[in-house]
Amino acid sequence: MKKIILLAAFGVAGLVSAKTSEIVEKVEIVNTDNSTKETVIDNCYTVTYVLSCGERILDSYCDSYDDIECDLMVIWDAWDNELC
Amino acid sequence: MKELISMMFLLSCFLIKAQNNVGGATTNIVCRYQVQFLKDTLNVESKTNEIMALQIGGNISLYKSEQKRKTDSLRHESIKNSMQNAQDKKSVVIDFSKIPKVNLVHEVYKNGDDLVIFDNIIKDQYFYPANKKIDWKINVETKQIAGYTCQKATGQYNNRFYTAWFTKEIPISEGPYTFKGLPGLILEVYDTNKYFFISLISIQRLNEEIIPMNRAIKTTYNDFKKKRREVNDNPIAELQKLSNNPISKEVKDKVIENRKRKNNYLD
Repeated sequence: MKKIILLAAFGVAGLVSAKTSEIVEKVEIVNTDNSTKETVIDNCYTVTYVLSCGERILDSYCDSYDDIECDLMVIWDAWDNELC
Repeated sequence: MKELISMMFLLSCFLIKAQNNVGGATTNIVCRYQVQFLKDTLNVESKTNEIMALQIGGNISLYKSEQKRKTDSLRHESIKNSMQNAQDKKSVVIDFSKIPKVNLVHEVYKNGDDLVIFDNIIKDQYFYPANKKIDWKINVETKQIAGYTCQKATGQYNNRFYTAWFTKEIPISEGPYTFKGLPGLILEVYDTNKYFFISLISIQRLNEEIIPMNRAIKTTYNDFKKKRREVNDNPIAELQKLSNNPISKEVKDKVIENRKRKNNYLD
């Protein structure tokens, strides 16, 4: 029984430790480099969606660079499905 | 000692489950089906086609648009180029108008007895388990399809009655969409009104990775239907969430009109 409790405790500690280091890493990135934070998070664009039926939708978009490609693709699909 | 082994087994199960990865399998066979369907059941001129691929690898299968598989990489390339050009001007043009359009976005992923449907509502992707298994009634009637002797089976899925033609000459209990569970591959399936008509066009031995839709939100069929009904009733509210600019009256009217014309769902 003692062994089981010990093993479970190690397991939980390992998982908590892995999660904590991930959070700490993220916080460090944001805190140590404010200029990076600005360029990564505040990418704003004027966007023109040219749809398959020739319609054009003008909009703006602000988000992190990592997500923007997927997001713009999904938004184009949504407009195209609703308008064409 | 037994307790210790059980504990380690449970822990490893938990860790494996935590990976939450439905992809990673590879195919042995890829079947391609042509799907003919009406977008609007009140208008025969709304008939549309889509080629769907059924990737089969052991107990795992994925049914998704062939066009989607092909065009995803083209679209990624196009958007990457647009983004590179936009770095200085901060103005980006997203133009997929020259890339063939995908008409059916739903996907069906099967792993053993578990069947999961992926689908979109406006921009959000959802997945939900397809709980209802079709209770097929196998008939003695046969016919030839693509050189295979096929046997007739009938069954109900949600509110529609379907006829399926399967062949025991290909002893794989698979088929398009959620139409599975017969003692052979389904080569043709359609509903009573033929609002959906799905027929096999090719079978190929092929090794490729099975990659289902990503970034999807887990839900149930009932919640998915409820959300779709809400969006059908008020598509503008949902579209406005995508846009930082107000939507013009002209665009709003067009969206509402188009929504009314889309009323044929396979689920």
